[in-house]
Amino acid sequence: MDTRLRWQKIGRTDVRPVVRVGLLASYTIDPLVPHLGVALHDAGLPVAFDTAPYNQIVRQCLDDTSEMARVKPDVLVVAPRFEELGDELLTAVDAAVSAARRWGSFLVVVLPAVPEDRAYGQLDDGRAAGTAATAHEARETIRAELAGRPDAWVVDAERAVRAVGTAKAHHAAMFKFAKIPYTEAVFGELGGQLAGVLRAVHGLTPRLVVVESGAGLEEPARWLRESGARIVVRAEGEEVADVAAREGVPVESAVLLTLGEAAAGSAPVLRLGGKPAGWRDEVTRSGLLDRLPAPDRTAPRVRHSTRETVSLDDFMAGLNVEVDLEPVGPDSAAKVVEVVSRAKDFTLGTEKLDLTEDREVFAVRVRDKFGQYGISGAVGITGGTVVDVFSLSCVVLGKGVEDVVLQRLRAEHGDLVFRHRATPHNQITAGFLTDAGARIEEIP
Amino acid sequence: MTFTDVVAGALDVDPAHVTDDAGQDTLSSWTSMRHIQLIVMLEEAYSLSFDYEEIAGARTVREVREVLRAKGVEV
Repeated sequence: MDTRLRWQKIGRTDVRPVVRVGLLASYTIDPLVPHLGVALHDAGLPVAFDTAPYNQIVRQCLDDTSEMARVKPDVLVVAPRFEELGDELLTAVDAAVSAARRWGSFLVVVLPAVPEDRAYGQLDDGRAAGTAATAHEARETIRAELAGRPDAWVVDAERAVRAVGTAKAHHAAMFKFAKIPYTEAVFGELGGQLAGVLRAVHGLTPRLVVVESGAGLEEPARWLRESGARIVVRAEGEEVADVAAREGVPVESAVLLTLGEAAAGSAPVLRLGGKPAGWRDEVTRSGLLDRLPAPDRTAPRVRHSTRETVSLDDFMAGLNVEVDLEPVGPDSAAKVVEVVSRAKDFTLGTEKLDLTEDREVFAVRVRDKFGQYGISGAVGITGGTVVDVFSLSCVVLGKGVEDVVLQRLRAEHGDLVFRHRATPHNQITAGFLTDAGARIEEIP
Repeated sequence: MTFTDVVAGALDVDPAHVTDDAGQDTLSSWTSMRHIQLIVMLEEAYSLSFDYEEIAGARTVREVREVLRAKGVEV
């Protein structure tokens, strides 16, 4: 909770972001923002976020007119899950690699966690075609393709889920309500992982670790040395700034590792607790182990995907989206009213739908290769010529459903007028109708 | 932190605006994402979790309060 309030507070300051981070996920990833934002702010890297609608990774990456394509973020974070994407997961990652290259973005892929639901129950782990085997193979394919690239990195949702514990990692009600699969604790872990990568990428991990002489910190010093840090033992009474100057390192790139209350001057300090058993965790949490490897000119050439990046048209066609418009009946009335009231992004501005009014109302049902979405939208036509209800659930956006509905309406009703009321959130609806050449009647 | 503080913090409004009648229709900052933020913060503040119907149904401060009271929280 404190993280969320702090992020709101940071948002009210006039700190100018120096890095734009784009977030694409197959689920609603917005809860990550405060955790990553605060961690980077505290690290001296103010960031701004652009979050695309959920489950539009491929479209956002391949469509040069997409929201994310227009932003061209400095850092593109892509978080796919098997649960939403199935065997299209590698397609999504390929599209992200392609987009990051075109946009000049540093790419961070969140390796998806192995799904909890196993196709073969307790015997799944031993099956070559089981959920676990398939997931691990895809995860390692992604890691192998991105490891060693100078412009990409991976973090791991599986590690975040494990850190929290499976029983506390998922939020079924929030997933049903807003497609948020994870609890705050998981987003906190993911934020920590991502912040570590971005701190290292932007050179914010202290290069020099100054250790107190005779403090018994040989083991933590060894961990840090193995991670790539330069370790220097300071003489008694020596200032950290003097050590840094002697080593040719700016004092802000030095950190003092100590057990006690030793003075560090202006340099940051990592004070370890009194119990050595907790030191490893403290050092890990400090971020001092988060270092990019030195460039290795003898390393084998980066292994790139041999798969062809799918085109946007091929991807959309492969979804096999089917859209039905059916008159609202007693069975569908309640659901249609709910969908209209909950649609915030794709809507003509209709807040409530009154089915007793004199208007033809159609329920929009959608299904594609991933499954049935049920009633996912509604269209209302008044007087045979004015569309004053056109709402779609976020679940089906980015699949071309709006295009299909518009084509059907035009085919069956001819030239229609769309009565549109601007709200703080429905700009994409006006944009879609304008691009489609629809006649729009703006109302206050 | 009081109930009013949590709601005001989550919705980013002055605590004076957190009246029982305030809701998604009256507070412009009570967007769908803020609603999620509110739910998450209430879950943390009171160490409980909401089910789908409770999340979807609580559209005013009064309704949020009623959901919490039904769970034994005195607010």
